[in-house]
Amino acid sequence: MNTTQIVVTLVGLGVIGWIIWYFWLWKGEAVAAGVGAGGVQEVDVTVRGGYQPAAIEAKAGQPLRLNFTRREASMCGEEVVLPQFGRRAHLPENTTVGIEITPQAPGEYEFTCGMNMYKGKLIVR
Amino acid sequence: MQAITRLKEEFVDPVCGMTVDPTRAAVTSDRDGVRYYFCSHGCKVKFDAGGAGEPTPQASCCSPAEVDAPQTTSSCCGGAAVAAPVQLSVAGRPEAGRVGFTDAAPGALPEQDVHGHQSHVRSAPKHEQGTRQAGGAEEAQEQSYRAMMRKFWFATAVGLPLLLLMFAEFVPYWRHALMPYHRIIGIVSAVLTLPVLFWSGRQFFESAWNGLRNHNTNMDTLVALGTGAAWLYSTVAVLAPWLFPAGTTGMYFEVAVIVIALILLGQALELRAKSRSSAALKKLLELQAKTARVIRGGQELDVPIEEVVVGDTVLVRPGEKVPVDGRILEGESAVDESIVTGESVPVDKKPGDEVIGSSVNKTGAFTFRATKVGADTALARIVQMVEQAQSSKPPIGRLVDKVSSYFVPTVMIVAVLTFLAWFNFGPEPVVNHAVVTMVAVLVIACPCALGLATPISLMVGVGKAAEHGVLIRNGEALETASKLNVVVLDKTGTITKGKPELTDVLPLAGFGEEELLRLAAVADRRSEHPLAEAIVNGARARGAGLGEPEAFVAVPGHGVEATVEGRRVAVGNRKLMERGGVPFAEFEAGASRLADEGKTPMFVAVDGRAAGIVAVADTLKEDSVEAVRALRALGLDVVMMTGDNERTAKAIARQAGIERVLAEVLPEEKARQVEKLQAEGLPHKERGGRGARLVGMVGDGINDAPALAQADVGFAIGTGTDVAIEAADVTLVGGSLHGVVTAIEVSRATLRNIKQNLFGAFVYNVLGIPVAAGTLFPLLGLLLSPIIAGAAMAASSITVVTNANRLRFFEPRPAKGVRS
Repeated sequence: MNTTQIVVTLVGLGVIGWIIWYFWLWKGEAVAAGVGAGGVQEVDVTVRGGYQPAAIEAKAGQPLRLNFTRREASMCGEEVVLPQFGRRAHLPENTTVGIEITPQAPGEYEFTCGMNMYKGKLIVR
Repeated sequence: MQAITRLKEEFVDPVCGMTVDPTRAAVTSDRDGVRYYFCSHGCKVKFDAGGAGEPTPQASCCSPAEVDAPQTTSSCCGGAAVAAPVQLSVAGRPEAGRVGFTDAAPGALPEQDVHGHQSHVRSAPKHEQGTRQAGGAEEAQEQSYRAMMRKFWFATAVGLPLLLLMFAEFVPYWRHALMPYHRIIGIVSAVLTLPVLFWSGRQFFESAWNGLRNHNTNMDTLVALGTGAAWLYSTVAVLAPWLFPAGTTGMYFEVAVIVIALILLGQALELRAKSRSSAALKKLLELQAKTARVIRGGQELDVPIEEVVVGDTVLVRPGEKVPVDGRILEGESAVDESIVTGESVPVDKKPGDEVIGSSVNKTGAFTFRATKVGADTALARIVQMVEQAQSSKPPIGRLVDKVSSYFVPTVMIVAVLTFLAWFNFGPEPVVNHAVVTMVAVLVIACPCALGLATPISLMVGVGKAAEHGVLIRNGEALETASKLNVVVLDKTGTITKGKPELTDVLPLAGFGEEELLRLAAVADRRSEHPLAEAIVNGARARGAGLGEPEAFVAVPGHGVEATVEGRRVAVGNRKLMERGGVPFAEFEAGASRLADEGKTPMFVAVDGRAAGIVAVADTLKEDSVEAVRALRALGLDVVMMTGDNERTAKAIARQAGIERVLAEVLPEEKARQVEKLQAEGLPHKERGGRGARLVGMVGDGINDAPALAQADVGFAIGTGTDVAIEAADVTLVGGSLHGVVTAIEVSRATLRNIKQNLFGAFVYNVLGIPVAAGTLFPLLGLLLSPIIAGAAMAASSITVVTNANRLRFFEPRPAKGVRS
């Protein structure tokens, strides 16, 4: 291997290491749901290349409204699914769609896009 | 509807009906734990002055003339008319707080049954929102489709000439002719393709960038990386060729734009196909009536369906749709309930019978009292249940979920490794080969095909089942139903009609058949016993004219005695005959045969003499025999379970074509029997897995709830508006046993479809990615063009969606039984 090859290979391996760290090992911070009128917990979630916030903390036994707003033309985020709650919603671009659930038991529940690429987590305490 | 388009939270002033923004509400008042918001102090004063009484529209801040009633459209105090939907729901508890109106005279009071919840959140009935949302989504989809096609045509218009130029390079004459302009062509191409990347491909780059910022990847990441890398490499090669070894540069501008064009086309077609997949649900929603003719204050009023409230009297004429669920008050008709039950034969309706909203009135006019409106109607609940099922995931999809969450980064890593392999070990020109193969790997990988494989088939399959009156609760139920080995059928109400009917009339010497039946029926006329009722109804059905009995006596536990046409008639069991000293020997032969057939003999004595036997029995539903045969044809063991004695049970089983009978099973033992059957199954290990047999239980959903829950799949037979039974995995709305056959057939077809999709998607990626990486090159000298890779990628997801759509043509085998 010549110098160019060694340099290119090292850069390539570095890129692979970065992919693993950045996409798989990185952990985001959870955002706690605020309590609005009528005791309903509420969080606004922006859908743009993923969910912001991607981790949401909520209290068990209290209604929780997740207000999804898709701010991208990409079709990836056009659907959001909460499989454990049996909920699926179409998210038209730039429209806020509220999904109301009442998580009964503490635990971690996921919400994903229709194809399970975008992932969000609901941490119920 | 699951998703509620966000409506600003508003509350309704209980006095004037005006909508009030809680953040701006002038005043509030708490009553019985409920907070009310008012538009003005005046309304609050009037509300508070009302004491324990209900708030009244008359006590409004508006002039009384402005208050129309029953009022659902409020235009208060000069404010703009605001559609104030009938059903007001407390957040998260749509069933909890409700404001309705009575069907009384104009000016009627709002009838409130808020149960101590905190607030009235104003929102349209879920179902209505669902309809609106479905329409909105359709429009949005159409817009997306048109936008994608515009971008596709632009990319194609730029890409095709570039593609021709690329081909020209293969023609020696043209190659020589174009050689001096190579760099200029490159620069022009770089400039021309930029708008394609920025406009046509913008969504891919934006989405990839947004994803990157969120530590997320998606299909767009791959497209953006692939086309971006092709464009960037080509541009650098044109502008700074000296950076690469001589003769190793190449231009791949056409790759970038054609791949974008193909993927846009693929997505546009996918969008079209997807909208067809959810057609079943849309069809249900579109089929509801838009208006209803209600009778209020003695006047017929045409009102929008959203304004019909529980308790309204609704008039339906022949040919019209029944607007909401209810119970018939007056009139008779035949009603086509196929929208809900899947059963195309109209059902006869008389006063007291239930009618289902959205069914079609065929023959006569009738009035009915609305019992369920808005989100509570059978149709709304069906739509809701189907949607929930469509969002769930069958276990077979779990592996895919695992794979797809690692998919894109893995492909990126493979692309880097491909680049390194070609760069370090490939033939010259290494950079070209490395770039081409890396771009091909990025572009060919299709997470969409994998991600779509399960949900799209499930969506079509569950929708298809609903069309035939079979409501499948979730993906897991669907998957298990497809693998069942045993089906246990409850007898009463499932295989049989659940109510006794007259079956035999056996006169003894000296009596005619018609005479015997007439005497027995008249004697029984005043009895309320179901067996007596069956005899009376049977006689009427056979055209017997029935007079009135005299000196009627009901003998509890025995039967009845009465004087009919001047003769003393006794109808009842053996004990009654013995009590009256009627010699029983003459009855013996007939009684024994009838009992063997599972029928209940009722003995008739006239003037102390044995006159004959009339028999009643709970008879088979018309299509039970055919359904049992179909279940067996599907390879299922069919078992009947009943609390009846063995003799009766076996007689019914014989008629239905069932060999195995579990008789004399107490209701509380049913679940244990199901458990035993589940444990039986070693011979079926290869089918059921885990050494157990998968047992489906079919019952009425109420008495059989524990057994339904114990079974691997519980099928509840529901009728009328009583759909979506809680304990059941599958609800058969039509009340026919044939629904079980349909459920299993649809489940098997859907699962087969999912497997085909998954197989196709896995194989495509598992083969496609290595081929794109150039693994065939050492053997065959073949290298995949990224353009072909892009076309393959677009085709793969279209194939999955199209295959799922094949399920739309699924038709369950028709029931051959004659139906009433």
